[in-house]
Amino acid sequence: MELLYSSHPAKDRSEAMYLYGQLVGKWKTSIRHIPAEGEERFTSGEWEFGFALEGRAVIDVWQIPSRKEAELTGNTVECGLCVRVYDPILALWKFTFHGPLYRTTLNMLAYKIGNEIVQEMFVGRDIVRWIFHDITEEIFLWKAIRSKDGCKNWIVEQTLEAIRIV
Amino acid sequence: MCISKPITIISAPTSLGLRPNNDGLEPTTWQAPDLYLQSGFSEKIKAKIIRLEHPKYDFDAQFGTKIRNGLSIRAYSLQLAAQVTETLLSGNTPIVLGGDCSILLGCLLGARRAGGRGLVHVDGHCDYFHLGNYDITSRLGTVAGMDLALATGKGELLLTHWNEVDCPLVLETEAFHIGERNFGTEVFENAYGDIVSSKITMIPLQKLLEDGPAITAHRIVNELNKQNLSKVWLHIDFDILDQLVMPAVDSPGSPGLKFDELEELLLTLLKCNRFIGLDVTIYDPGLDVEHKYLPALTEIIEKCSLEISNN
Repeated sequence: MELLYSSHPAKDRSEAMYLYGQLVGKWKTSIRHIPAEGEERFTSGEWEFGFALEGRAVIDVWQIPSRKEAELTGNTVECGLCVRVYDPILALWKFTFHGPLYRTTLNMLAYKIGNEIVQEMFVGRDIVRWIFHDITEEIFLWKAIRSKDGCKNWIVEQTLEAIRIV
Repeated sequence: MCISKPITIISAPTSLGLRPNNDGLEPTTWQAPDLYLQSGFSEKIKAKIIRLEHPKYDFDAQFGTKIRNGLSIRAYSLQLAAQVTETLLSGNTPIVLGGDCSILLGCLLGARRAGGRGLVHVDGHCDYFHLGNYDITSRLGTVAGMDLALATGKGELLLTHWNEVDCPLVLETEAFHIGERNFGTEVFENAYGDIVSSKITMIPLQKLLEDGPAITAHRIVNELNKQNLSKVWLHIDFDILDQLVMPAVDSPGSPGLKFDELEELLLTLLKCNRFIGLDVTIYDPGLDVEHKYLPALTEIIEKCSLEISNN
């Protein structure tokens, strides 16, 4: 896939590309699923980010569990592909997610808010945000939250801790 | 004629914030700025003119948003904001000709970047729809019905989060609405009655008519003085006029102001020297084929421009 990958961000928008660009590399993930009803569930996986499309996009793939773990346990690997494209006219990111196992496709818009990356979408009447926070070179946190009352109250649905491998 | 501060007129010919008209077509508020300018008032007040393009109106939902033309409005707001900021930083006074009320966001963003604070929102409706008070699955949201909510930080991040501005474009305590005509009715309660629980100051139309334009304006000016707000934006939606004198707007209604009452309200406000710019919105020439209402509207814009430039 030489035409897809890029080794660095595009020069015409390198500053903006840093937002997701800071995540480029490979990460080990620990995920906590918090269902509205029932018990919490914990899984682990991997997440890999890289520049693509002449450095004007960041693409990433996450897997739960990792292939290595799946080989040992026989569990099915769930994976998702995210494409994140910076739009310089709108000064925001367009995000598309494909999860083939459950036939999921999602569109979100993403913004730098303080030191966080906040993605937003609408599911029925709910507002859903996926937020990258506490990002350092070695670790970052991520959470999925949902509001059913127009942003007054938020429910945490999933949290994730990522530790850099590469 | 005395003009102490040069005026820059920014033409913002847009209908992006409105739903399609009764014929299923793009509303024609975008035609208003050219008609105002054709009257020759800009030459009289020796204004510089900047013309933004008429943006493409999209009938379908856009990527990632439940707001009609949401992405286009963000792009247009950023473009308009750049012109407003540049105008203010060059020492000129911006007068923005709309267009529909979605232009308010670009005006406020531009003003904020030049140190602006505060908003006086003169409108027959308080435009306070947001994610918490209407069913976003029932229709695409229209910004012309939510501009005050968006300006005070309620709504999709797409139109409430702007780079370089950490908080909402306007704090609720620094926002003053004048003119909601349905206040206290079931229509109001069911639409955006929750505005009363915000910290936005609200003077309904009935109160405005009861007290009169001058007293109402003085009340607002007192508040601006109290809070020491000296770089305030003034938004004027012509639907504050009674439909009997001004039916050529998106949502006409009664009661409302007469032209001389609106003039008195605006000029009394502007005399206080606390405004840095203003915008006028919602006149739709397509609903006024003979342009019967145009001269009176242009006269108000001209008088307001002169008053604000003398501040």
